[in-house]
Amino acid sequence: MDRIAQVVGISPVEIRRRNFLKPGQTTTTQQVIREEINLNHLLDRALELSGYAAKKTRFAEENRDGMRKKGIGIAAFLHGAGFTGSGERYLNSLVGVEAGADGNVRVLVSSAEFGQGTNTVLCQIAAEALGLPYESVAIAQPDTTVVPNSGPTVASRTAMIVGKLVQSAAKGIKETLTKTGVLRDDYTREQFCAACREYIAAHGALKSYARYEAPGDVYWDDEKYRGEAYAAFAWAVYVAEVTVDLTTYAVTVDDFVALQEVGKVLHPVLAEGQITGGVAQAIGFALYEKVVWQNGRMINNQMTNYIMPTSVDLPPIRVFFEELGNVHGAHGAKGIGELPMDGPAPAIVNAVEDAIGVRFHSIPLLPEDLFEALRPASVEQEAPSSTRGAA
Amino acid sequence: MNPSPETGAKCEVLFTVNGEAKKVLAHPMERLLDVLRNELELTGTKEGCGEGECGSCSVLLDGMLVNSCLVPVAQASGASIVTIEGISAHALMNPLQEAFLECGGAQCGICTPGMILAAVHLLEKKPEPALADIREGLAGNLCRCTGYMQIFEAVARAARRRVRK
Amino acid sequence: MRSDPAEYKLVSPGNLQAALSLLAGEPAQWLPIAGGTDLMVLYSAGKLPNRKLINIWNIPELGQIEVFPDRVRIGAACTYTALREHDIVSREFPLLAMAASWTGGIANQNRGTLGGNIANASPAADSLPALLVYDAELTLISVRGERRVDYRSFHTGYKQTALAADELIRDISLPRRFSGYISHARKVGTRNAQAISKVCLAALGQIANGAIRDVRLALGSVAPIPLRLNETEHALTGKRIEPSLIDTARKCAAKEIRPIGDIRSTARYRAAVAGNLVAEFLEKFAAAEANA
Repeated sequence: MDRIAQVVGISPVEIRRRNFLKPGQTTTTQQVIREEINLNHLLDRALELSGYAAKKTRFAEENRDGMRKKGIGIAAFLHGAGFTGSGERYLNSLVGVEAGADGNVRVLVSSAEFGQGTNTVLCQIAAEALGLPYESVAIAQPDTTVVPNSGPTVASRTAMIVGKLVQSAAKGIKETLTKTGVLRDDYTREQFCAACREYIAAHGALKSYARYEAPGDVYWDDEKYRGEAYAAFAWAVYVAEVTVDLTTYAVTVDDFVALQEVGKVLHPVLAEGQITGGVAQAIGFALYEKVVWQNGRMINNQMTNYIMPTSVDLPPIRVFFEELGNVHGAHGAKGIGELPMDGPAPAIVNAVEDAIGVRFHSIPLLPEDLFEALRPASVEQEAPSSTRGAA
Repeated sequence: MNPSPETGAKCEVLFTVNGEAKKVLAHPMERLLDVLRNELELTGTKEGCGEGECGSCSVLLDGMLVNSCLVPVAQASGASIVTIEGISAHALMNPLQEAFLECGGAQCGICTPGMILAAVHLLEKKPEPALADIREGLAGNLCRCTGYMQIFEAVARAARRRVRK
Repeated sequence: MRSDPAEYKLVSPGNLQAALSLLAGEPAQWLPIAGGTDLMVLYSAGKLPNRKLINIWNIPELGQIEVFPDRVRIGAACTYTALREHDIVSREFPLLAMAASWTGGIANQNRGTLGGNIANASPAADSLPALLVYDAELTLISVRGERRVDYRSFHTGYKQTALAADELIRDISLPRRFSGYISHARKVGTRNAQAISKVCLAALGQIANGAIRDVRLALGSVAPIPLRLNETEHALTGKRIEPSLIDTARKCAAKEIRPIGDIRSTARYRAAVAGNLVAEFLEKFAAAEANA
C-alpha cells in the first residue's frame, strides 16, 4: 500500500483512507460487508494513540543528522473468525452444558485450554447465560467419552463460534427447567440448585446440547471460492515506530500501538494477553526469526541460534479495543487469536522505509539485509566467506 | 552395571531443597534439573531448551538464580536450593502470585516457574525496580505466549505491594 | 542425543593442590569445570568428548577478587555477577563490567566465570576484548609452579591457547592505570540479550595536547582469536582526530580483521560493522576531548 502511495504521490495515510472497505462494499471474495465498521475512525484513533503526525514531523527533522534514523509505519488489516467458507458447516460443531443435582454446571466442549483463556471465557459465558456466579460453572476435561465434538481449537473460532453454542446450550438448561415448571423465569442461585435437584430426581441427567447452524446469510461457493468467507471479521490498525541504527544496521521497535475492533471484549486481561503475545511473536517474525536451511534441514534449530525476542528486545506494546458487537458471537464477540500476527511485520517494514527510504520485500528483515541494501561506500573485506557451525 | 574406572559411579549428594534436607543417589554429572524432577519429583521446574537459553529451569542455588539444566548435581552438594514449589515459604511469593494472576502474567505456564524465580531474585536485589531493571532481570527467561508486557506489570505491581507493606 | 551421565566422572577435590595433582597425574585426561555454562551445553547436546571432569567451582583460591594499589587480581572462577558487583572493577574497568553484563542473562552471569570464558577461547567471547585492552596478565598454575603470561599472547589459534595440559588459570591481573582513559564498548548480537556476538568492540583512548597519546582497540568475532588492532592503533597514535583519520582507521581495521560467514552473520556485514564501531569510538573520543 505504501508503495502504491509513493508511486501515485499521496501519503500512506491517504492511500488507505481512499481504499478502506465500507459497509455494503465487497471483499476480494465478493463478500458484502455487513458490519458497521468505520476504518477511517480506527485509523484516526490509531494515529492519535501513536502520535503519528507529530512524530512524522519530528523524525523528518531529526533524521537529517546522526546515525540513528527514526520512522513510523502503518498496517491496516482484517482477520476472519471461524473456519473459512463452508468449514464451520462441515465441522458441524456440537456443544453441551450439564447441570448437577447440586446446581453446579459443567461446560462440555472439545476445546483445548493452553493458556489463552478458553476455560475462563466459556465458563463466563455459561454463567452469564444462566445468571449464576462464575464460581458455580466448571469445564469438563476434553475427554472424548464425555464431551461432544465442538471442533478444533483453531481458526480464531473458540470465543465466537464455540462461545455462542455454549451460550445456547446454557440457555437450553434454563429452558428445560422453566418449561418443566421447577423454576421460575426470575430465580436466585438457591432456587436454581433446588430446581436442578428436583429435575434430576424426576427425569435423570440434566443436559442441553446446541449444534452449529450456518447463519442464513452466510453462503460460500466451494467451486468458485467466492462468497461469505467468514461470518465476521476483526478489524485493526497497527502503528510501529522504529529506529534504524546505521552503525549496526539493526532495527529496533521503540513503540507499538495495536488497535482493533473485536465485537466484544469478553475478558479484558485475556484479550490483551492474546494481542500482546501475538504482536510480540510477529515482531520476532519481522525482525529476528530467520530459519536457516542447509540441504533441507533447519540448522538453527536450538534456542541459542533461533532468535526469538527477549524481554529487552520488545517495545511497549500498547493494546486498545473497540467493540461494535456482532450477531454471530456470544455477547457480540469475534475471534482474535490470529489477528495480531497480521499487522506488525508490514507496519515495521513500512516504518523502516519511512526511516531510511529503502523498501524491503521479505521478512525477517535482518541487519545483514539492511546492510546489503544500503552498502555504504566503505571498504569491502576480501575475506573468504566460508560457512561454519556456531563458534 | 559394572562401573569401570572410566565410568562414573553414582554418589550420594546431600543438599537442602525448599528448606528440607535431601539425600539423593545420582551420577555426579546428572543435571540438577533432572534430579529435581525425577528423583525428587519436583516437577514445577521445567525443561525448555536444555542449553541455558530459555530460563524455564531456573531455580535459586544458595540464593543465586541459576539454570538448573547447566548444573551438575555434584556441584549442588551442600547447597540450599529453592524451586517454585518452595516459593510459597518465601515472603515475596504471595504478592507475586497474586499479581501474576491479576495481570495475566501466565498463559500456558511453561515459562512461569522460571519467571517467578527470576522475579523473586530480581526483587531481592532491587526491591523498587524500574521497568528497565525488570526487563533486564527477566532477559534470561523466554516467553512466547504473553509478549512479556503483563509479566512486567505483575512484577511491578508485586514490588509496589511489597514496598507498601 | 543426550549424554549419559553414567559415562562421566566428576570429582570434587575441593582444593587447588589436589586439583593440580590430578591434572598432572593424567595429562589431558581431566577437564576442569567451573560454572558449566559452556561445558554443560556441549554435554547436554552429546558433544562433550571428555569423560573425566574436575569440579573447580568450589576451590576457594580461585574465587577471590583482590585489590592491590597497582592492580586488581581476579580469581579465574569469579563469576560475571561478582565482576559486575565489585566496586573497583566496575569503576576502573568498566569495559569488563559491561562485557559481564552482556554475557547471557542473570542466571548465566551467576555461574559463568572469567576463567571459563578465557579457557573456552571462543573468539566471540564478550570479556576477552576488554582483557586485551586492559593489558591483562594471566597466572597459570600447575604442580610445576606458576607462570605469568601476557594475555595478548595467550590465544594462539582458533580455540587454542598457551595453557598446558596440566595447567589451570589461577587468576587474571589488571593494572590499575586506566581511570584517565575514555572507554567505549559495544556488542552487536542477534538480539539485545542472551546473544552470541556478531562483532564486539572494547576500546580505550587517551588524548594529550590534542593528539592521541594512547589508543587501544580490540574486537571479538572478527578473527579466529579475539584481536588487538595493533596496526590500526599504530596508525592512530600521535594523530589528531579528524574525519580523514577516522577513514584511515576504518581501512586499517578492515585489513587487520579476518571475519567469516557463519550461522549468525556474514563476513561482509562483520567487516562493515567492525569499521563502524571503530569510527563510532573515534567520534566519541573526539567529542569527549572537545568537551574536556
